[in-house]
Amino acid sequence: MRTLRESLFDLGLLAFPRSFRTEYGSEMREVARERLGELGFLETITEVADATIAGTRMRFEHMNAAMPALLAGVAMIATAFAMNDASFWRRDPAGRLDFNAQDPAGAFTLTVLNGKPIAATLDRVPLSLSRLVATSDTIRILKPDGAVELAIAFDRETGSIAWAPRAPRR
Amino acid sequence: MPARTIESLTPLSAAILFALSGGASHGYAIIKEIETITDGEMRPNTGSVYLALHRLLEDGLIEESKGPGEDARRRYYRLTEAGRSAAKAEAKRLSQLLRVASVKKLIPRNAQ
Repeated sequence: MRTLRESLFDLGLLAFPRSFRTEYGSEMREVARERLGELGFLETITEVADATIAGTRMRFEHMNAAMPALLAGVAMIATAFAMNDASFWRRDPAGRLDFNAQDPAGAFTLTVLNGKPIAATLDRVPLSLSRLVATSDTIRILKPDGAVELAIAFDRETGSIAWAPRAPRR
Repeated sequence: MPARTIESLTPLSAAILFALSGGASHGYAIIKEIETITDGEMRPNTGSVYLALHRLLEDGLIEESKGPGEDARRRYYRLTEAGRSAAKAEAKRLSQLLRVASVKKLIPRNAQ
């Protein structure tokens, strides 16, 4: 009779591509069955997690050429969110969004009301409205000379922002 | 697919090549052999071992082989000539590193 541990390992095996499971699945189950008899509960979890991670890595290796580019794009967006620390935004029912964010160049805040920017600060210095330029999905904060300091992608659906991190100031 | 160079052998792949240097073996025995030759420092898991075996097969460093018994559940693997060369090259590289570490007094004398 199959044990719970063997069933867990089978779940981990699902992370591998089907072709790999067809080739090695029964052999891996056999090896795991022998090993699981020697392992404690935590080591069993490690064994299952390892199979899941190894299978996932293999799936990424077998994706076609277009997928790495797509994944790289997703990773860049995710990295931008992580690096820019956009976790401090909050949304209230009146349609007002206050963003309080940080990137390597410094801190900035942005207040958006019904999709339009109404206030912003750079390093705690309030900016005049003339330095905020909004299109349907982008808000640009301009430098005094008119060049773009920050181009912020604004997602109306989720009420979130994303931007390329600025380089640290010298 | 071009073979990975010796420089890119992972520690686990190298350990598998070392474990197979004594002759053909199956997955479970390979894992146990790695645990033994590393004094339990490496305790590889099944998923990682089979991913590494698959890559080594693709790279032509190991090949399937007939085992000593008639156990159909087990598949045996053995080193190819390229695999043996890769294992020797990796062992040489590690021993050179060890020598450097020894000269730099990074390892205690009784550990050598």
